[in-house]
Amino acid sequence: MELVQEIAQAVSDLDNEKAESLVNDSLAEGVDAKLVLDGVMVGITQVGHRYETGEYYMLELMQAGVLGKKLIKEITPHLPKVEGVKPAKVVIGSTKGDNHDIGKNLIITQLQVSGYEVFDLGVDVPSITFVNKAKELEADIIGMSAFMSTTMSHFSEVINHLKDIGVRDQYKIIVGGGTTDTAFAESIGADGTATDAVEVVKLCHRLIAESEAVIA
Amino acid sequence: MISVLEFQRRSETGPVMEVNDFDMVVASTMKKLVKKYGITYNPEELVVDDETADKVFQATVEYLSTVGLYNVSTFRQIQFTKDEIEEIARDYRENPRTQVFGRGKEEITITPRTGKDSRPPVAMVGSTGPIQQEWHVQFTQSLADEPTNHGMGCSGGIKSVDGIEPKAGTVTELHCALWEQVALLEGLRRAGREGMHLGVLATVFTFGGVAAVLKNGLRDQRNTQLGIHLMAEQKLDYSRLLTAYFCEQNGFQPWTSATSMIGGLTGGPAGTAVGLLGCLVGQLAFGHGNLGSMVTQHLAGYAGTREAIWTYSAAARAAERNIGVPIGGIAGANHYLRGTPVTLYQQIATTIASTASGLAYLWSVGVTGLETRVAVDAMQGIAGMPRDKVNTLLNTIMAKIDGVMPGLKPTERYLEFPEFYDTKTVKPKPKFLATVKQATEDLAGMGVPYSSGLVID
Repeated sequence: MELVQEIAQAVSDLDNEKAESLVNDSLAEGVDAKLVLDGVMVGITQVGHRYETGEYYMLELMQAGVLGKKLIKEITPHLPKVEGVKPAKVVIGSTKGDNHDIGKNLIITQLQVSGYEVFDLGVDVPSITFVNKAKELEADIIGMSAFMSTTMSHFSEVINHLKDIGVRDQYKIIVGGGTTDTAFAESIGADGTATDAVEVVKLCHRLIAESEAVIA
Repeated sequence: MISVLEFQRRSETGPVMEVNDFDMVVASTMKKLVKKYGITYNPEELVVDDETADKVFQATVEYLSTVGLYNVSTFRQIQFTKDEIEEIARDYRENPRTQVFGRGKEEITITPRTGKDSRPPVAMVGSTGPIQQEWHVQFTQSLADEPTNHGMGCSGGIKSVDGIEPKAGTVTELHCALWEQVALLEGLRRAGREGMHLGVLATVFTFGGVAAVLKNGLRDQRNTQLGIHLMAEQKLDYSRLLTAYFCEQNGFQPWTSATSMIGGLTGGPAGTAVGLLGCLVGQLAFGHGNLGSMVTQHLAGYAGTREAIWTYSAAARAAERNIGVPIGGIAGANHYLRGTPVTLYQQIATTIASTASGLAYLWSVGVTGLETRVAVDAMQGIAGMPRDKVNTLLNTIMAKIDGVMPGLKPTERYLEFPEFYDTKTVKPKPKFLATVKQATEDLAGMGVPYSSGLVID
């Protein structure tokens, strides 16, 4: 447990050198990779808390994302293979006409370090692309971001299309950005919205818990 | 000045960069620069001193020469040299810009202003949030009914027309936008202020839609600005360059609006002040506008705090002293506390700080006509007040806000115009009138010097 806390502290403090050294040394010494991963994940969670309390800003959240992804890449080959378990998949993008992407990009990083397989469709994404990619990749969650009222209206276009082809229930749909709030999300038939990247991860965890998908 | 065509060339030849990498460069550069220039947020001194303002400008020159802009259409960085940035600032300083909007008795002229100027800022009003069809005309009328309001900064955007929502890039965008323009003009007509400036086009965003609205004759050079604003942080696409070029060729004033969010990529108030100014200069570089507004709020969507007010002041004073372009800003508040005295306290605090920080025009946004009446009066009373006195007054107001905030619960939804105004008479509802009257008196008790016989009835 001491090792878990030590790795977590290094990640939480964004001490890249120490975190990488602890992870690599532990793996080389044959320490259980699950314990090492626990340390990284606890550290990432702590960064989220520090962001929520205003101690950290977006830069630190981004840096933690980059560090987390790097460490997880090191740890993954040492984890036992679990047959038949696939990570939850998220297809995400900014809707047609919308080029705003900071929030979306931050969410992608946070979801990736939290174990999701994320497919970034980019910005200015036609509604049909959300539908087709979600079908093609067998996504669990479709995430849509829009900053302007005229681009937010594409949310319902995607949702209605999914309904009309009879596959709405196969996906959890999250929307966000601009003036999107819970009341609006409910009114268009989305499954949820959140105010920042940390909250989006919590929302996805909750939605995935309601479905059969698994977070890696 | 750098031409718009040159911006296209740089968009096509600058370094290729992933957008995530650009965001990281922005955030890490800002953190270093805030430290290097020793820019410190001071919650007790909300109107910043000359030294802080100049540090913000110097950091901005280095920031912009390091990160430049990013074209999301080409995934390339648009780079500037320090000399180019300093040349842009010098050009504005040495050739002060003025801008005329409105017609007839509604004609207004916006010129550069400093914090020591006894002339108050031009009073702009409007809404950033969507407006419902049922009360669109009345909302516009309520703002135009206030004789001290000079024009609209932004007319808001229509939520839907007969159940049809405006969808970008489709026929409904234009359908709703055209309905909106007619409604806006009707609101002005009812208030007897037909020639009033209407600000930036809101509902219509695509270039084809903008062109159609202009061709229709409902909007023109005297009542309209076209958005060329960067996306946070420092990002543009070809539509911005296209609009800037169109403005230049057709005599339209671009809507140059800098945005940087506290808690976002630029970090806290110090970095966000630099981010705001960097965003502004970046737009002036290709838009060549006569005006520039600034918008900041916390990432969670609220404003009116000490951090937000200080950030405005630092960026505005840096612009006032080093660029001289007429600067505008938003006098905003926590909109999820609407209907409580705190929103007026916050709005007046922002108004006071902005007036003393050299803003040339001030946009009271997301508030009712009644509240703008109080804000404009306070603006007139505060213009020319020495900085130390303004800071003392601001500390008194902010202490009052700090005292009452813990007892307030934000509403779960944004309260709209009909909750405060009777849409038949277009007059404030009695309960709201009483709240504003009490808050106005509270503020007078804190030392807000209203300029004239302000009447709340």
